Amino acid sequence: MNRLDDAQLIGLIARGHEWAFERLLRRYRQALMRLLYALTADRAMTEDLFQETFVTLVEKASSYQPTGSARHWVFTIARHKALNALSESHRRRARLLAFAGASPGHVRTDPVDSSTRAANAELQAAFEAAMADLPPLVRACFVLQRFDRLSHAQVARLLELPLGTVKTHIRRARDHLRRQLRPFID
Amino acid sequence: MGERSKTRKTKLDALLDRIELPGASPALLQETRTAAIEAMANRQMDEAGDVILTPAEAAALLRVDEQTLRDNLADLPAFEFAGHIRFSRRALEEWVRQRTADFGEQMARQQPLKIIAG
Repeated sequence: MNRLDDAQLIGLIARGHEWAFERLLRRYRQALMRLLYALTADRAMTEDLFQETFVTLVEKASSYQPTGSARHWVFTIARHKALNALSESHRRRARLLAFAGASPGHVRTDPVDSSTRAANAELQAAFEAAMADLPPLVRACFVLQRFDRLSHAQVARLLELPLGTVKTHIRRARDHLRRQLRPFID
Repeated sequence: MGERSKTRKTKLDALLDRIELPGASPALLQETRTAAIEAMANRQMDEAGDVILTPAEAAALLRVDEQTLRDNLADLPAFEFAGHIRFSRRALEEWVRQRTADFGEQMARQQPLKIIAG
């Protein structure tokens, strides 16, 4: 049986085929969770955005033009949602902090929740805290390259960033993680 | 220096291999399916000039409270999806037209009786 490509599945979703949605969901669930988590460093926000991304994908499926990469289209929806949510969350936090008289630079949300199931919870927590220190696109470049095994060029295309910027972001993320995870390395 | 840096890099990668990034739980996948399928149905209805309504929206359309609507659900053109009651706006409007016509007929039948009785 021929394997339908992503663009064909999006076309079928536009015509209301639920099974096509199911296939696309299976195909992208891991990559999108990782991308959204990389961008937000917040598990709860990641889950909300994951659902919103797929709903938007369904809503926009009929306007999808299969001229470019479908993967790029899906990732762009997710990236825009995450960056919008982050800026809204920063604005909300800044308002709260202004109300409390604190400085936004010293506070960040704790990305580690009680459901962490990692075998080594301490390492996992240190990793998540270190990731939260990095800017969203730096995290995204690193996660796509390191955990999704994409090449630098593929990351650059998906995130619409210059290749040199992607390389710099990845190097920055690795240097930061190496410093922050030193107690686990030594 | 280069060798040392290479060793460190390998150790970092070994650590990263132990990291678990969050995955989509079965509950999240199910919620996503439900939301997406509802969006799919809404989009199709929109394209056909129709839209799916929640009980609260249907009650607002009929100008009754939601409890009254739920108490009379058996009379209404509703459907159930994944445990949720939903309405097609178009079907509901058609139902209103039909009820209006039936009511008019009923009144017309009753009217002569009233006159006779009066």
